[in-house]
Order: sequence, then C-alpha cells, then structure tokens
Amino acid sequence: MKKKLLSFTLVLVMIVTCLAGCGGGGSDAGSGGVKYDDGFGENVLRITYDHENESGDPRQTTADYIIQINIFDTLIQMVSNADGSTELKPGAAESYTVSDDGLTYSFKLREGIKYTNGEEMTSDDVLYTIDSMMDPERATKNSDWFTMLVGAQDVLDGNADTVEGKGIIIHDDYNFDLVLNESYAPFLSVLSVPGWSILNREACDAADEAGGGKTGTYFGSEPEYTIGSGPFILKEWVLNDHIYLEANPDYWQGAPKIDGILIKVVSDSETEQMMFEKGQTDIFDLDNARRLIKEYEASDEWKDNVVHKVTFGTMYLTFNENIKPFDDVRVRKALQIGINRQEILDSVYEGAGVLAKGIFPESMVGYNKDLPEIEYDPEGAKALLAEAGYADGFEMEVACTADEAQEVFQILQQQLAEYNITLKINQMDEASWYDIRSTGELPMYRSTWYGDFNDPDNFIYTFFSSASTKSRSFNYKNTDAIKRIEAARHMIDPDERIAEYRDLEKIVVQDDAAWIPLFHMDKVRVVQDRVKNFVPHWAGWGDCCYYSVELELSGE
Amino acid sequence: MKRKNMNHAADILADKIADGFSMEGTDWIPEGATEPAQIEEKAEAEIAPNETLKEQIFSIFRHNKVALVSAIIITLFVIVTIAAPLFAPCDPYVQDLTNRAGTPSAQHLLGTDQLGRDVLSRMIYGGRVSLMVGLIPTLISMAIGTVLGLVSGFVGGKVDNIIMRIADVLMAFPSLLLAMLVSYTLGGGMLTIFIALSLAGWAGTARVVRSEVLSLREKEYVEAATSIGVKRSVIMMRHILPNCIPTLVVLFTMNVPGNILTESSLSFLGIGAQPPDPSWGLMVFEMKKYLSDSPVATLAPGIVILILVVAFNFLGDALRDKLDPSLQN
Amino acid sequence: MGKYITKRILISIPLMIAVVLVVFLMLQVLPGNPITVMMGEKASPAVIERVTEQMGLNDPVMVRFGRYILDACQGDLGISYKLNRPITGLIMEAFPNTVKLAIAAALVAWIIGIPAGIVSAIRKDTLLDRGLMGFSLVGISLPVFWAAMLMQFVFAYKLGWLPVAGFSTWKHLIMPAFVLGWASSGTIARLTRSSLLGIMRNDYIRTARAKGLRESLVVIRHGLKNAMIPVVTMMAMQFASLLSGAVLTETVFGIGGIGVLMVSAVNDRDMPLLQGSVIFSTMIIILGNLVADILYSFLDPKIREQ
Repeated sequence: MKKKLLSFTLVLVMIVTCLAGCGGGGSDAGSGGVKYDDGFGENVLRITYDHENESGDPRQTTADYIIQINIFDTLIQMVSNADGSTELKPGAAESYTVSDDGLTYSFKLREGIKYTNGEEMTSDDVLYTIDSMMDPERATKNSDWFTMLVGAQDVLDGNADTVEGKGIIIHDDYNFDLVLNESYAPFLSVLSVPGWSILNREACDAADEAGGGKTGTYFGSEPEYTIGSGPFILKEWVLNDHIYLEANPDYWQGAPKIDGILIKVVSDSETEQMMFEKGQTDIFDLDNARRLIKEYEASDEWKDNVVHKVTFGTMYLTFNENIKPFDDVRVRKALQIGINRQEILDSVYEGAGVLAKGIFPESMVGYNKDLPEIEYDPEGAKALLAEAGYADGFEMEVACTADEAQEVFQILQQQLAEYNITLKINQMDEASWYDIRSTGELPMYRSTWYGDFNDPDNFIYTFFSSASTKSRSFNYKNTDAIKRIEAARHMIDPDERIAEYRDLEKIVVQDDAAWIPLFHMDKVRVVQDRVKNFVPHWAGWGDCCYYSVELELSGE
Repeated sequence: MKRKNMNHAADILADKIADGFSMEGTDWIPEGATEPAQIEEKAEAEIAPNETLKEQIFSIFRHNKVALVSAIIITLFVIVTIAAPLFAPCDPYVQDLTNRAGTPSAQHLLGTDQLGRDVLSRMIYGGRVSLMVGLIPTLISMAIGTVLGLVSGFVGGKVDNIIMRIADVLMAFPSLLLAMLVSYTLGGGMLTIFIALSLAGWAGTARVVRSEVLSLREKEYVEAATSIGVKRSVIMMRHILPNCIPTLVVLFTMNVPGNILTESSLSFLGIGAQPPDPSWGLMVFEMKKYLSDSPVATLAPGIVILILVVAFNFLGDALRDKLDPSLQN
Repeated sequence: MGKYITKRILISIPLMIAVVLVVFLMLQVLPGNPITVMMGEKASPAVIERVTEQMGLNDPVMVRFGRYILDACQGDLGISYKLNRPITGLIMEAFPNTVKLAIAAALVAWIIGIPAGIVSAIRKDTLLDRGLMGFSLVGISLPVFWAAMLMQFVFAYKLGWLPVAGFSTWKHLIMPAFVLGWASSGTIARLTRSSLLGIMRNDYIRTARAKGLRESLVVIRHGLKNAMIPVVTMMAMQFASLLSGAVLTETVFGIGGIGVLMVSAVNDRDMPLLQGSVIFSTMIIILGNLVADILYSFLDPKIREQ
C-alpha cells in the first residue's frame, strides 16, 4: 500500500515539474529570417482578428468592414492629416458640385475604373448600389446611409422599385446627381462610409443567381463572386481560420506594393501576442491586450514600433433616467464628478487615452475647446447626494458582458462604496445585453462609440434622438434638446450649425448630466520592423485599408 | 445475466463510462452511467452481507492510503473554504490598483490579480464555489435521477419508455451547450449554474438506478414481497433503494469532479460566477493574459482545481474498487 | 441483426425531432434577437425593426418551427443569420477540422490508453500499475482550458517547438490532440485494465495458466481478445463524441470546428446555425452509439446468437 502513496506523490511531482518548466527563463523570438508556417509568401501582410467577419457584402453587415474597405471603392474618401484633422478626398467620383439649397449633389465618375470581372464602373452601378441596398427582399443592414435620398424609403417599404429619376438622376455613364429629401449637411462625409461601397450590377446579379436568389446570394461570402474595384481582391475565405485578400494589379491608383493581406482569425489575445512575438504576424492590435502597451513601449525591441492613433470615438457610461434615483439630475451630476476616471483609465486601459469632456472627440469638426473639464470632486459629489436626499447612499445595478467593462465596474464598485452606494454587477452574454438595451431597460452600462464620418450628428443623434435614446437605454427626458438635435442635422449654415451643436453638447453633458463621458481612447498597435508606410484608419477603427503598406523583404 | 432490458451499448458500458468518464464533461461526452452488467454481478453477490456500508468505507481508508490522503485533502479543502475568513490572509474583494498582477511577495503569497486583489485569499473564497458546485447540483441531479430511475425500472412500460427517451435526448445533447442555454436564459449567477448542472446530470443516474432496479426486481425477496401484496412504494423504499446505495455512493464521488470541471469551464467561458465573486475557473480566465508576467497567480487556481478533482477521482476509484466485487480477486 | 439495426435507426428519428424541438423551444425563451447582436453598436432602431420583420422573426413560434421542419425535411437547413451562408456549407467547412482533431486525439488516446491498460493489468498492484493509473487519472481530471493554456505557453511560447494556434499543418494538431487524447486515454486505460482483470478470472484462462504458459502470453493470446470487446465499443462511442466537437479545445487552440460553430451560434442567437450544428453533432453521437451497439453485439458471441 505504500506503493499507492508513492504513486500519488509521483503524480504530484509530475505536475510540479511540468509547472516548473514554465517558470524558467524564456527564449525569445528567434532572430533572423522568419519562416511562415501558413503557406503564404513573404510579401504578404499578416494581421489577426479576434473574431470571424460577418460578410464582405456592405449591405449585410454593420460590424465588420475589413473586407469592404480593401476591396471596394467609395465615391468620396475620408483621410486624416498629420495634425489629426480629417479631409474629404475624391474617390471613385473625380469631382462634385453641391446646389445652393443643399439638396442636389452632382458627381462625375472617374473614367476607367475597372471591376475585377472586367466591367467598368458607371452611373448605373451607383443606381444599383442604392436600389439593392433599399431592396426589401434583402433585409439589408446598412440602409441608414441611404434613406435621405428622395424615394429611397419608398423602395425600402416596398412601394416603389427604384430610386431612378428621384434619388438619383443619371445624365450619362459618368455623370449623375444624387437628390436629398431635406438638406443634410454631412452627406458628403456619409458617402465615404464603407456602406456606400459602389457595387457592380453584373457581378451582384451573377452572385445572386449562383447562390439561389437575393437571400442566399454568394456576394460577400464566396470569393469568386465577390467582385469589387478596390486595391485588393477577396481571394480565399476559410471560415474561422483565415481570409486572404490578394493585390489587384489593375487597381486604378496603381497596384499595391504587397502581394496580399492575410487575415488570421485568432480569438484569444494571448495567442495573438505569442504569434506576433514569434514573427508570425505583422501587426498586433493591442485593444484586447492593453496591458502590453507599457511593456512594449518599455522594451528596446519594440518601443519604436508602437503605433498610437487617437480614435475618433468616445467611451462613456450611461444613466437610465427611467431608473431611480437617476431621474434626479443631482444624483447624475454627483456620479459624474464623484467617479475617479483617471484611476480607471490608468488601471484598465494603461493610460492610453485622454479624459473626455463631453460627447465629441478632439478631431471633430467644430470641437469645443472651451467646454469645461469634469473635475474629480468627491466632496462635491457627497454634497450633491446629500442635497438629493441620498446621503446614506443607495443600491444601483450595472450591466456588462464578459469584457473589460466588468473590471471598470469592479473598480467603480470600490469607488462608489465611498458614497455608500452599493453597485451590483449584472454580467450577461452579449445577445441578452443588446436585446435588453434595445428595449430601453438596461441599467447603467459602459460602451464606446466610434464615428463613421466626421460630423457631430453622427455622435449626438445616435444617443439623444427620440428613438435612439430609448433603444440605447438612456431615456433622456429633455424633449426640447431632443427636438433641437433632430433639427440640427438639416441646418445649412455651417457656423450656425456648429454653434448649435456646441450648445447641445453643453446641455446634455453639463446641464442635464445625461451621460458620463469617460475617455477618447488611443488605438494602439505594435508592428514588425518590416512594415513600412502603415496608415491607421482616420477614425482609429480596427478595420483599415492597407493599400499604402510596403514590406521590407529579407532579400533572398 | 439478463440482457433483454438493455437496448443500448451505452447501457451495457455504463459503468465503465462511469469510470471517471464524465470528465470529458469539460468537453462533451455524455455524462456517464454505470455498467449494469457489473452491478448486477455485485447485486447477485449480495455485497458483503456482514459488513455495513459504513464499515466498508472505513476499511477502505484503513487499507488504501491514497484514498485516505484524498479524503484528507478533500476535508482540508472543505474546512479551509468554510472557515475562509480565518484562513484568508486578506479581504478577497479589496483592490489595490497600484499593485496589479503583482508577483508573489510576503504580503501576497501567490501574488495579486488584475485589480490588485490577493490571489490566495480569492482562491480560498473561490473554493466555496467549486465545492458547492461539486456537491449541490450533484446531490440534486442524483436525487432526481434516483427517483426517475426507480420509477422507470419499477413501473416499466410507457412510463419507463418516456423517461428513458428523455434521458436519451439529454445524453445525446452536448452538455456544455445545455448549460450555456440554461444560464443565458436564467441570467448569470451561481443558482443558474446549479440548475443547469442539475438538469444536465440526472440522466446518467437514472439509467444506472433503472438497471439496478431491473435486476433487483427479480430477486426472491422482492418477488416474495410482491406476492404477499406489499405496496410497490414500500418495496421500492424498503428493499430496492437500500440496495442501490453503494452504487449511488460510487456514482456520487464520480459526478462531483465532473461538475467541478464543468463549472470551471463555464466560468472560463464567461458564464457562471458573477464578478467580483471569485471562482477558480473565472480566476484563470481573468488572469490568463498575465501568464507571462505572473505565472504563479495565473496557474494556481488551475492547480487547485486539478488537485481537488484528482482527489475526488482517487477517492471514487477506491470506493469503486471496494464496493464493486467484480474488481476484487 | 438487420432487424435490430433498423429498429435502432427508427428509434433515433423521434429522438432527433425531440432534439430539434428542444433547441427551438430553448431559443424561444432565450432572451436576445440575432439582429441586435449582429448589428452591435451601429444598430439603429428602425433598421432592427425592419430587418427583424423582413427575416420573418416576428412570426409566431409554431409557424417558424413548421417552416424550419419543412425546409429541413427537404434538406435545406437554412442560411446563417450572421454569416449569411448556407448552414450545410458552414458545417461541411467546419467538420473536416473536427474530424482531423478527433482522429488525432483518438490515436493519442488509443496509443497511450490500450498499452497502459494492458501493462497495468499484467503488473497489477505494482508501482508501474499505480503510476500508469495515476497518469490516466490526472488526464481525466485535467481542466482542458488550463492544460491547453499551459502547453501553449511552454511548448509554443517559451520553447518555440510548436506553432501557437491555427490549423494548417500537422504540427498544429499536436497540442490539441494531446490535451484531448490524454483525457480519453485515461478512460480507455482504465477500462482495458478492469476488463482484462475481469476476464483473467475465467476458467479458460486458469486452464491456460495451468498449462504453464507465460503470464504475458496468456494475457495477450487468451485474455485480450475477449477483454477488448467493451474497449472497442467504448472506443467507438468516444470517437463519436470527439467527432461531435470539442468546444473548449477548439476555442483555446483556435480550431474552426463544430464545437466553435455551436458556441458562436448560441452567442449570436443564430437559430439556423445552432439547429444545424446541434442536429449534426447529436446525430453523430446517436450514430456512434449505434455503431458501438452493433460492434458489441457482433463481437460478443453471447449476443450474436440471440
């Protein structure tokens, strides 16, 4: 029987040895040329994604744009300047004019833009893009970017077949007008979003036919049928493994310098880290591994390779004004000033961002530098709570998914304990979270909004228009402000419009304390030495166009 | 041996699967049952009539040191976690944001987690979750399984058929997925995990008990009791259930580690324990990104899961050796 | 025999329908709308409402269930809400990965498990026996996610012997196959051992021994043949469950198999995908059990005669 005991010890010893193995010193990434074990050549840019893309079809997703951005063209392009400001540049449209009433936009398409099926891009393709986005049979998800066109809503509702002659007036193959219902100041910027990728009618029809109709179309999922005109071509898509975008040699701005982009799906950031450090990937997005930012910035090997890009986005905490005691502006204000945001930024996000003052990020058109800072003021918060009758605190609930928000809330839990506020964290899965939020019943939550185009409307309307304030569980009660937010998008005079937005921002954040601005985050990536000319997306999205990238080859 | 009541290799193999098999329970192999063939043998052998169950168990500890060590380890776990405040060096909830993912020190023997909380203390408190999840849903699912198994085996006919088909569906259904569906529906938290594991786990027990009943039903004393008109429920409670107990004890020790592993897997997938409450699986999940910075803090919760589960498995093994005569010379 | 198989297959049909119904009903009570998850942050209330309507998600439960069953009977499992592709294609794309992993894991399990079980039985109650059984028990007790993490860290990151994740070469298979196979090998080893020990008590073995044959020869020539009957059956069942997808292993190692498909379908409330993958994996389990049954009755003369 002693033997049994002995064997038990043996087992323990085995475990211990196995563990000791990992405490030992590490041998770092092998120096010299990297051999790729994925079967693709050296002149291929390798990146990782933490999830599988939904679709390459701009009509079918609002979540993933990596494919769309790289394989299609938009009429207008948005680019960022060195100082962080943004600029609109002609894309597939060579030039444009806007009528005085702001209703008619006349475009001239660039001649000779070829789709990879050999077709040339014409005005008819723009018409097709609009019509098929509005097609009720397709259950499209990006329709919001189109409904300002005359007649578009009718097609969407099934009352008309086309917007031709209404929302779009075609003069010839290259010249056409887009006509709006009401003037909509940010319209040109809207044309730069990936949802406005110009699709080819023949290619899409072929994809529909092959897939068995509009609902089963192969467009966006079968590489062979997903035809675009952009710098890359969707070549291979192995589900949950990788997507390969090959360089388009006939791209109208010239072929890319790299042979292609390999997008590997790796769900876990530790694995992403290991792959990057082993040289198996070229760009490592640190969003899911923010703790590494400091580490890389301090290491001799990587410190020059860390790329920061201030995102065109705002992280925020919400109040649901339907839930007591958040119907009381004093309580909201108390929380706004009573939370130590810097501590959260430093602990959870490694300080890679700046504290937000309001709703709009700094590179926003008409950003208000004079908006007062929200200072951390525990005494002031206590006084406000006492005034509101909550000197003894209260119980509140917050909702999050299994992401870093639960760390934010655990820190908040400790911070709010100071005011005798008991915070109950309700962690749920993403689908439940979104579903409850859309009913307007989600308690306080944390989220981030990344802008689609550079206009205040894209931010403030998203949260505080009458429909959205419910579907995002704010339940903002200031109806006057809501009306003004909905009217501001149609104002024509740019200066008046900016002044209006500045005022509205102040009302929402300062007067009504309807939300707690947290941070404007940095998008931080670390890249391999061999990656040159990498330009992050102007808004700091994870999805970006890799057209400009060059790779230094080992020279064999 | 009778085979007419068996329609599944699963039945025939059940006990061999119970041989610690629910373990892939972390992934999904159907939760195990016990092999009737062997149990029947044992039943026929009228297990050691001169020894009570209690005596048998004590004799295991006298003769089998591994079982004894395992039992001691489990007892220690129970004591330490129940009296957690006495053993934990720090408050498991107090954060120290200046010392996040800290390496071991005199103050924090196993280092600190991503919010600067003491890992050792969190592990001690987290043990409550694992032990509770190990014991409570196992008891519930076995109670359900025993009742349904008794009914199924004794009443037979349509009732038997219905119960066993439901069990079939459950056993063919991926158990981790079932737990996910239940916990998404009911919302997170420990109670949900209890319900999910109880729901998923009864089928194996029911199947084992049923086959046990089928063999016992044919015993002379049961037939005798039936013939003199003793009520069925009385027969069930007085003659059949007591004879199932050794099997149930063995099954119990084998289901416990399975449930502990499933809970840790669920917590690892972000379903289960709600922050800030610690659970070992959740701790591994939260700390895994700090593996290279602070390996001790990251690996420790996994090691205790392993030790506890190994201890339960060794104990179950020893019980099985003793209570299952087919394995004795 | 043929009659038996037919009967078993017929029994599994209502079982499948029950599984479909269970999944369907569970998804009804499960909070969450596939459209809101799919659109995420960029969702606008008007679009959610319209798309939900256009995709027929507002129809009554029974209408949708009927529609699903009708389509499924015609071999059309529908189109994934999220990935916008036919379910059959998605499953067929994921299944080869699961098959590769299952074969590799099963090989590991058999190569370790069977010899370990035999040696253990021959050397019963020796240190070797205890050691091997201890090893198999640890395999069974190992938290898969933790072991996977540890192995990745040691063998891929620190030592650099194996690729971290992905699934393009045989090297990628080693770690996941070992993690999965170790757990399964434990079961096989213990079953082989106990089955062999059981057989060795039989009269004909005693006769063989009395003839003065060497013990190991007795075991291999006479014991093993019969002892392997339950083991082979077990192997079939185990293989089937490996084929039905190993969620955790696939997740940690980034393998796009059936397990990952199922989990993402639940998370995205992608009803057609969940239905399809659950039906598929359940069918494999049921089929596997059927094969195990047939194997058992085929190998066991006592049953074959009936």
